[in-house]
Amino acid sequence: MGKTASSPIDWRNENISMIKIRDMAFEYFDRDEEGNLTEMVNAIRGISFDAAPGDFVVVAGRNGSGKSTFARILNRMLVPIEGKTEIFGFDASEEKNIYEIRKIVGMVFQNPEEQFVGSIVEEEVAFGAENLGLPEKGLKKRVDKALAAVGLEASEYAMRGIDELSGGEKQKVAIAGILAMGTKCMVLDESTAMLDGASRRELIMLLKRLAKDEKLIVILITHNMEELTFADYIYVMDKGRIVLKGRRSAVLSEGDKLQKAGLALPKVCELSTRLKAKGVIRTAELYDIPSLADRIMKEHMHKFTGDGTFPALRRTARKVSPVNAVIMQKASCYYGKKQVIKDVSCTVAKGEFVAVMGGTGAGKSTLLKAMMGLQKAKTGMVYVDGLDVNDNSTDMKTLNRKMGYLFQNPEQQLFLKNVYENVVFGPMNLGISEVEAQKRAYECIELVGLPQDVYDLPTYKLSGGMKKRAALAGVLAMEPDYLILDEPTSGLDPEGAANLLELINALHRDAGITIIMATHDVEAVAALADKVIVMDKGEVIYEGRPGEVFLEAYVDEDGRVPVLPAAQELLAELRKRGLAVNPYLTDTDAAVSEIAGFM
Amino acid sequence: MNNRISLGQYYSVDSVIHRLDPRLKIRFVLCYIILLFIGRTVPLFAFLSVICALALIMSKVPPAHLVKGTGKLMLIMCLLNLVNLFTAYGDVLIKLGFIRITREGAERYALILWRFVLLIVMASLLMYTTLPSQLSDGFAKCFRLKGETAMSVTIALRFIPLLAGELDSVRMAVKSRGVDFKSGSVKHRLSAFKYMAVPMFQSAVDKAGNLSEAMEARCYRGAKGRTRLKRLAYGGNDIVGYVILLLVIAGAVWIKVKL
Repeated sequence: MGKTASSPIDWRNENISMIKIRDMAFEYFDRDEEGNLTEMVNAIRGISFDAAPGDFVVVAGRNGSGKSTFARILNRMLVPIEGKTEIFGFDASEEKNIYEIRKIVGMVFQNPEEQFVGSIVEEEVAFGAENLGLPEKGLKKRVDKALAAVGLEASEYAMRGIDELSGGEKQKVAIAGILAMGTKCMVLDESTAMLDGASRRELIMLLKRLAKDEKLIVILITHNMEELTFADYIYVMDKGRIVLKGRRSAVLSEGDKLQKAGLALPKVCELSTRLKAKGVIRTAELYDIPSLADRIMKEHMHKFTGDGTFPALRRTARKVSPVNAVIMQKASCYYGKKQVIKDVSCTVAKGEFVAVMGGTGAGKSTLLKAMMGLQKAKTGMVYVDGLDVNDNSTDMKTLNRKMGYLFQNPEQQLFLKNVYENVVFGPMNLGISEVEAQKRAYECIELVGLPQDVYDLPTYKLSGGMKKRAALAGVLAMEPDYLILDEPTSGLDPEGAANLLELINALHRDAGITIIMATHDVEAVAALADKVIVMDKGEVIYEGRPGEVFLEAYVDEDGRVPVLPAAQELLAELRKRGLAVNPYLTDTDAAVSEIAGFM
Repeated sequence: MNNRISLGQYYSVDSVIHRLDPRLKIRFVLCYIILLFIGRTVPLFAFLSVICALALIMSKVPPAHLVKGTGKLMLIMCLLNLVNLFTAYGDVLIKLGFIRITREGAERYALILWRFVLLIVMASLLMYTTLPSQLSDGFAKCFRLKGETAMSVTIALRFIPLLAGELDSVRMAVKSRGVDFKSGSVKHRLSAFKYMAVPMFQSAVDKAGNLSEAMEARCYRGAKGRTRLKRLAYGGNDIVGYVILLLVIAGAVWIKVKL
């Protein structure tokens, strides 16, 4: 096929492409109760795409941009209605090719828990291969090989229960399940979204290695911008179309276009671009912090005169009055026999913005639930403003008035017919007058930025971001002093996450609400939190100001969470190389001026 | 994550009982249950209790774990069984107003409770020592079910802990909004549960949708043409197991007839 004007691949040789998609379209209509067509959703159009074995391709886009629909066309879960879609030579529009394509293109989903059939690792990995009817004789070997390829030794993991694994391990098992089928292409639909920073990086490195070693095509669907920096090729989708595509360097130099598509420049690119503008470095084509640090060192060797040590770690603590705080003393919680948090002691003073970080299964959610008495501590004490949470004589209503809790999955919190009923529900339970409750409900729906016409909309019609806002309105209508948020930005794209964080920050800054937020987002923690509590295996391992805690974790180098904010990581890397910068700064502006000040 | 509802939860430990073929275990438990119902006498139940205790010891499942998982069910049985305690005629032991407990009633109560405890323990042991997939394979073979039915059973068993966790979360979400599950009239407390129905139903439907999509994506198209990583195959221990089963049946019948 010759190169035409509409050819999407002027940036690479199309002969090596094994996934050839030209002007493909897909649409899906929603019907009302009478069967009339109402609106067109999930439509994607004019898609042209290529990928060759060994490629690590990232498809990015905001929520609802059509990227998941695209993923489902790749492994023939959905059928394209127009254009040409050829996957390893099989035409996706032909019915007979369904299983050929699914055999070639494996898919890993967002929530590992909901895609598993087996209850032990070995069973789960074998499932796809069993479906293909692969010979039983070599099956065990195949499973063990697939496990080894993702770094889980069969001798240790094959018989483990799926429920015992961490989030990152679960996704590795899902990947092994695809490998055991002998697929040539792997599509990951936001499979990193529920992981913490360190597990996320580990998984991406694994995917890159698999692409290279096994000559796989790896297609990662994401809206996490850091992941773009690992890609060979990037496709950006918006409103069902591909708005930007090309090699990593080409796409990442288009900051404005990314922003227009609801995304943002990865932090490391922002840093390199700004350092280039300040004249610190001559190229901005650097995609990870160590290379950026190396580059700065190369261009300004003579400034690197320090010995590479860090200043003595400092810890600034603040005095807290016990009647105005949440205090946990040696609290332990159990699920059945399993101890989920162990002897946890920590404090949240009224008026603070506290972040709780840690890997999946570290005990963050349990800690938050214990603070509100939703999960009783078996041993130890939990006080809220001097009230003993675990004492059965403590009035739960008083506690409910003081503390609001936004669950990670907003659907669990939206249990009534429409938005208004869900919001007015809480205040009505507090025994205030109906008029007052209604007033609060209307105010709070407005406060969270939901439009007027959603009041009587059924909650299932709302988008993910709107559901979070509706649930938050319901919590705020109870006028809490403390607001507990369990991963509020999970599942939201950069724009949606930034808007929600801005709202949370406004509640803290303007309404004086104490915020306790579990999150994986280090940048948000660095920008907003007064204090961070880091958990690992049910214990608090760090507690303090974000900049101080992150640096301490970096110096400890024990591989435990968290990953540093990009700006601070750069300062730390420079400091290690002998530039005497202040490694406590976490903000991009401050870090850029700090570095420029030395040059 | 959640162990409070332990029905269908595999207890991961290596024991003789864990390694037995699921078909043998299913047949053993079924025969055991039939034996429990052939008579209601102390010697028979004592004999069956010994068998149950031996099975429990050999399975290496800690008794405390078993009690935690089945305690509520046992309590319900204690309560339901009260009908037997209060309604039997015979020698009156205790009389308190209109409540009357007779010797016959007390005996019947004790024996029926004994029977249910043994039944629950043996049935749970089967669950604790057999992986859901093995269990459903075993059932499929024993009752000649279709492969799809076996897969449905596997998935149903896999969903129990997931939905139990979800139930816990939803209960907390409702509680955090000021709904009191613990005080007020029975009617009020029951009405608190109605708020959990919608999110639970929604979540079950979503989970089922996601799982079926994930299965389809991995080329599942029914049992036909599937191969298996582990086919059920009898080993030496299983033959010994069947011999023991026959001895237990013979023993129980002998006790029933002679004692």
